[in-house]
Amino acid sequence: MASTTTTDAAIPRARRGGAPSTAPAPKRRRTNDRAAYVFLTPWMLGAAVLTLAPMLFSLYMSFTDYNLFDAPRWIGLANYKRILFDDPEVRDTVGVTLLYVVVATPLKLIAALGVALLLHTRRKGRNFYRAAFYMPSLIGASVGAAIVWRLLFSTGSVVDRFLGAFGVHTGGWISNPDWSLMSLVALSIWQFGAPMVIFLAALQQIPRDLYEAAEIDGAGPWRRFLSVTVPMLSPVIFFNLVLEMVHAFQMFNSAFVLSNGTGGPAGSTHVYSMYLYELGFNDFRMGYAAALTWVLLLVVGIVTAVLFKTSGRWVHYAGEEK
Amino acid sequence: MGSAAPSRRPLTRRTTLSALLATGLGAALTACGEPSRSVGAGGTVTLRYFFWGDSGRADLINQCITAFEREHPKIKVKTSFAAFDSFWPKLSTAAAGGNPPDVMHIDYAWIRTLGEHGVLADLAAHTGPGKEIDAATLVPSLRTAGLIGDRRVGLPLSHNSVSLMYDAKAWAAAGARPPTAPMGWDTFMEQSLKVTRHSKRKQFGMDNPGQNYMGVETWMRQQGLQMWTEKGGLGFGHDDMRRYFTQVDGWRAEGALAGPDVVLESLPGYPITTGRVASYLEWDNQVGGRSEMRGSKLSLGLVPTDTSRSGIYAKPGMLMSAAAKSPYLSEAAQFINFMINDRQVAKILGTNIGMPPTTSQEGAAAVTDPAVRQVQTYEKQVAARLSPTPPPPADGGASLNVYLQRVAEKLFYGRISVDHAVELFFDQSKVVLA
Repeated sequence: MASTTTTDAAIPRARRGGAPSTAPAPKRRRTNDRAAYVFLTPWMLGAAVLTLAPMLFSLYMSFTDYNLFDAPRWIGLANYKRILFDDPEVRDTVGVTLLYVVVATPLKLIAALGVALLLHTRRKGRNFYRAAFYMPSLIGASVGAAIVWRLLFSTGSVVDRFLGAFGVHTGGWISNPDWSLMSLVALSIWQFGAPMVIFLAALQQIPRDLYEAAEIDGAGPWRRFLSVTVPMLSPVIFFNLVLEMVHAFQMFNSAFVLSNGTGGPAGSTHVYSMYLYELGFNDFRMGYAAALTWVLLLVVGIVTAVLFKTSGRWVHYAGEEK
Repeated sequence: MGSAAPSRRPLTRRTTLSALLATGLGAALTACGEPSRSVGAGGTVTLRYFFWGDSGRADLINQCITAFEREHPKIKVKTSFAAFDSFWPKLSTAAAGGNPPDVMHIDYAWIRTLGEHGVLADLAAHTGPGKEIDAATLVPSLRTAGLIGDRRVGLPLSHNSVSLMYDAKAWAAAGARPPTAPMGWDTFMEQSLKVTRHSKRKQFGMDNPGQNYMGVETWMRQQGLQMWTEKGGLGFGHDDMRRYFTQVDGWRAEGALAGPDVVLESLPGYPITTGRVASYLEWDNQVGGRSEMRGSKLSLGLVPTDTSRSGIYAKPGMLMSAAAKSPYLSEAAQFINFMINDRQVAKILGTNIGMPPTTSQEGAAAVTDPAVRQVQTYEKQVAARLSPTPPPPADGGASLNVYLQRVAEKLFYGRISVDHAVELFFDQSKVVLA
């Protein structure tokens, strides 16, 4: 018993320090590593069998012509060539998806930050409001919510009549190709709970003395927000931005339900992930669908990398000297 | 704590773990093997049977199964069903996983996709004199339905024809001439426009047939063309599609045909059932269900045509197939034969899935049901004008319909020109058709 406790304590200390350890016996550490690996095995097995293996198989499939029933036939880069040069629907769905990402992601983050700032102040019933604002995120991705959304944004619905009362006549957003994507954006904004909770936690981490110092220097609320809150929050803003952007690229459920699986009207909500679903599960063109998936992964990877590269200019980590 | 030496512990765990792993892998390997014929107590065999439809149809089919099990006490049939749209992903996933149902319904549009890739069993060895299935009774128009080359991958369970379903009351109220006699498309559209104007655009005369393969196929056939060739390609060209799109888009612009928003706002119903249009092209066997949903009686009218061809044909409404992997092919064949030839089945099903496929079932359905009588009358009326059943849609044909709808929507919303729409449709057909 005593021997295990000492080794357990020794390992983290050695790792934390990162310094070459001199004291602990290598033999005993190996025994403990082994124990760790044994405990990790179920998880690693799960990751290998359920994540890594299917991923590698899909990478292989993307170079084949595979219809689920016959054996995959190797066709090299033909799928990728078609995606890049010969498929008009790819062009259209990429346009719709990019528009969605560019509009929905910042609006959702602004909403999340705005509400987090309101909920950060001390007032009665704060916990109730926090729960209430988080609620939509729990049910948001569900099919039920998307169906309610359909009803909200169809012709003669609540939204239509409300806007009509102000002289804005858009008709139903669902059946109007110019507005249908905006109803999806609205649905996404409504689900701001997850980033909001992260913002709230980060707001509580900002030291009060920074605000006090700013106030003494004569900074008003707006100035304090811009010069203290935003820079101190920037790592979390960056984190939320990356996360929400990746989500937005993968958006499928709400578009599928809101358009009844058509991506309509006139293809205006036909996002990339819906197209690859159709090809894979309606057309059984698994090879081509797999190639589309890998292109998506690549694009999301590149955009994330660009965000990381530029983050040095605007993300401020506390304690970092510039 | 002191019972086991510390150095032994990981080893023990590892042994346990490997044992666990081996069992798991063993189980997984067994699951991957070929399905074996398992026969229950008393020598009974259970067939798994998967079809699409609603609970109403499921009730009828369960009655048929009760009748079948009474006559074949050694065979049990276990059913499951799904809505049409979710039926295909479910079936294809099960088939790809090597676990398809023994017996299933297949739409004509999918027979090539599944039949050419080894999912469906070739029942030729079980069909013929003295065999389980009697296919000699099939009505003439259905003789070749379910054949791919000389392989019999399905047996038709029904046939139905396209009709012009319309609300006679709405047409009379608008003073429009009903499509009870053959009419040219232009003449019909003049009548349709009267309905639209009479209702002040609350109800359009007709739903746009250009949004669906049914309208395109019917019109192409009226021009003497085919939707699909024997080889699995499109049977018409850019110019034909351009002419058709130009025509229907013109009628939409003047108000004779409903705009695409009408369809979208009626979802998940149909414009005919939400009262937004007073006529549309539809399979005749749907008349009972649609009338009920609309809340007023619909009639079956003749599809307009500008040529001597009606364009309509007896479409195999639904086919029954067995899985190539099923170990119970003989039992499956017996069940399929019962469904297509037994008079009790025809009596129970009525025209729920269409007209009966065989001469042995003809005339068995009670004509007391008004919807059944309506369909029978219509089928008699058009029988002389039916053209031969065309080859089944290409591999990927079902998906092309989805893209046709999307392209048509873009056109009817005025977002692209006719030329662009035609271009997109043919470009997409290259991606989708195998």
